[in-house]
Amino acid sequence: MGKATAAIVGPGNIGTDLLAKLRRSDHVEVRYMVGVNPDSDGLRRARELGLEASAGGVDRLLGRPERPDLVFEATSARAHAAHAPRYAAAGIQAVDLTPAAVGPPVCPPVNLEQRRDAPNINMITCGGQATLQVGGADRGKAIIVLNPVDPPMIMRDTVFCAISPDADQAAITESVRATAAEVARYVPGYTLRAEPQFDPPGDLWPGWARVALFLEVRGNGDYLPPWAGNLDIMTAAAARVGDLLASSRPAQVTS
Amino acid sequence: MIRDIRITDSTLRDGSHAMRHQFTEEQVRAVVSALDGAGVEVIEVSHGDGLGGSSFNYGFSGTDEIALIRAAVDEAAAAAIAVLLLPGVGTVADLKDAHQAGASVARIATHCTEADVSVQHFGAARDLGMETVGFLMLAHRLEPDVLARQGRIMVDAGAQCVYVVDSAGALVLAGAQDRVQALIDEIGGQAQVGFHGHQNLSLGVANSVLAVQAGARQIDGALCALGAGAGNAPTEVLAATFDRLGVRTGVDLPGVLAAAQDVVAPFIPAAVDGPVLDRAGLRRGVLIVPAARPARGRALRRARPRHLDAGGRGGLRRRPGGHDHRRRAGPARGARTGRDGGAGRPGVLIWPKIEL
Repeated sequence: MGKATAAIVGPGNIGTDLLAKLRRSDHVEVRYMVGVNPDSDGLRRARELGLEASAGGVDRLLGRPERPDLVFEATSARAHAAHAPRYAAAGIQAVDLTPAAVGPPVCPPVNLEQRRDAPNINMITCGGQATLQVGGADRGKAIIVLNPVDPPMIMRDTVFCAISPDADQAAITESVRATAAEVARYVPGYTLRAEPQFDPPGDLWPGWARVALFLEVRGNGDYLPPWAGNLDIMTAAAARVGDLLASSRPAQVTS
Repeated sequence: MIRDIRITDSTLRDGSHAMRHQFTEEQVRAVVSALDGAGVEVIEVSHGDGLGGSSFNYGFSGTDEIALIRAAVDEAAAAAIAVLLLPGVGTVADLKDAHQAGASVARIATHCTEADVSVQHFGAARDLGMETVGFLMLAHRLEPDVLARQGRIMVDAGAQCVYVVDSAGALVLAGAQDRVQALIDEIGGQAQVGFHGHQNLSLGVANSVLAVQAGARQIDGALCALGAGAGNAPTEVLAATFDRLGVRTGVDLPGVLAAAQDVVAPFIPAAVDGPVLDRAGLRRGVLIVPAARPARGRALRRARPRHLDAGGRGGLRRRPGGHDHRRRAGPARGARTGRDGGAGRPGVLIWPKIEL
């Protein structure tokens, strides 16, 4: 079976970094890059790499005789909300890197398996991509800090989980390590910065003890700089989703 | 009644830090009743870090903030109830919940360099029909003209007033006034300008006076200075000072003094996190980026990335932040080290407590 064909819509920083990652894929071949600005640097780069790059937008993409199997959307929530029904009508599975939340939210190791048939897959926001794997929690809250510091700092995440005071700490530590290793398969710079820290119940935590995890997400430096781990984990997770979808898709007749 | 300026009281929001976010409905009703009776026009009620702040990271609310907002709305005869929202901590969904509970003023806060993250929230607030206020936190970190351009972003997004927020209490007189003036020059034709002062250098009130003299029309305070760290400009002192200056606030002086003395002062023993003007707070106001000393928390010490230690070799410039959240060591220490851990938190500076 040949590679699945793909289009990237949105030739900005995210789309360009995603392209770099997908070009290493054994399962996905990016054939199209579309945007709306003819002067886009991302379109120029894509063209140089031999892609069909067009500033004609989604109209142009959907007008191609050979439509892609997958489309990765790296535009904006508003744009994706408008595009999503058109992809669906064309039978193209969409991987959405915007916050449009048209389809079910996905973080590859957590729930892609259950969602792989969805016509539209929404990549959970960067903070969620970095932290959700560790949970298994009933309820979670991601607090995003956009840090304008200079020099730039690498993405760090602190995850606090409420746990039972008699929770099996060794089992939690083991599970966290295993999950971090799973994420590191597609985000090589995903590391635990310290051993999980266990705190006994605090006076204002109704009965809970707490485990604290300290993560670092160093980007791969494909197009985005390595400190932009927050963006890199989005493109890496999207590329991972593309790989997993493409490698498991039913055999199809190729023309 | 003719008022030259409007005072917004934040006892029940900024003061929530000092109360470790454990305000009860009864306390909220008592404060609102006293402030409303004294003619304070706007009363802010939220978790100290804004809507949605209840978390391990910032401290869990003792009572759900929406229930507190509802109680405040119920208690207020004339005052409007405001809420604070830091995009990233809270969401538009939280704002809708607060609006549903009766809040009518949306105050959207960002680090002073990041006004663009507030754009959607202002839009949502205006769509809800709420009055809007923008909060540029840690305003001392930007030069006046640069700060004014951030204010422009908020006004273009729908802010009807933009505050210079001296979160660290670091502005000294002309430094506060110049920032207010720059904002007035930039947005004065379309929106009001406000000032939110802290007491690290005991200049919260003086800076507020200079802000008003430059043209600010909204001023924040908190009864008994109840707020994080060194505390806020005290509402009752602001009212008295403006009264002496002939600046009409519409606030009844005996009423607001009674609110401070009879209602809030009795909370203070429970306010384990301030308001206290101590060495660390003073040093923050004077030096802004102090030399670091290793943090005390066990988990923190092990896990703290070097770049989080302010000052010195690893010191980072332009960290985002909000209020002065230093904590005094106490029984809750272990429970609270997480506040400073990891990658930082919006609305908060992360310097470890230091000694002069």
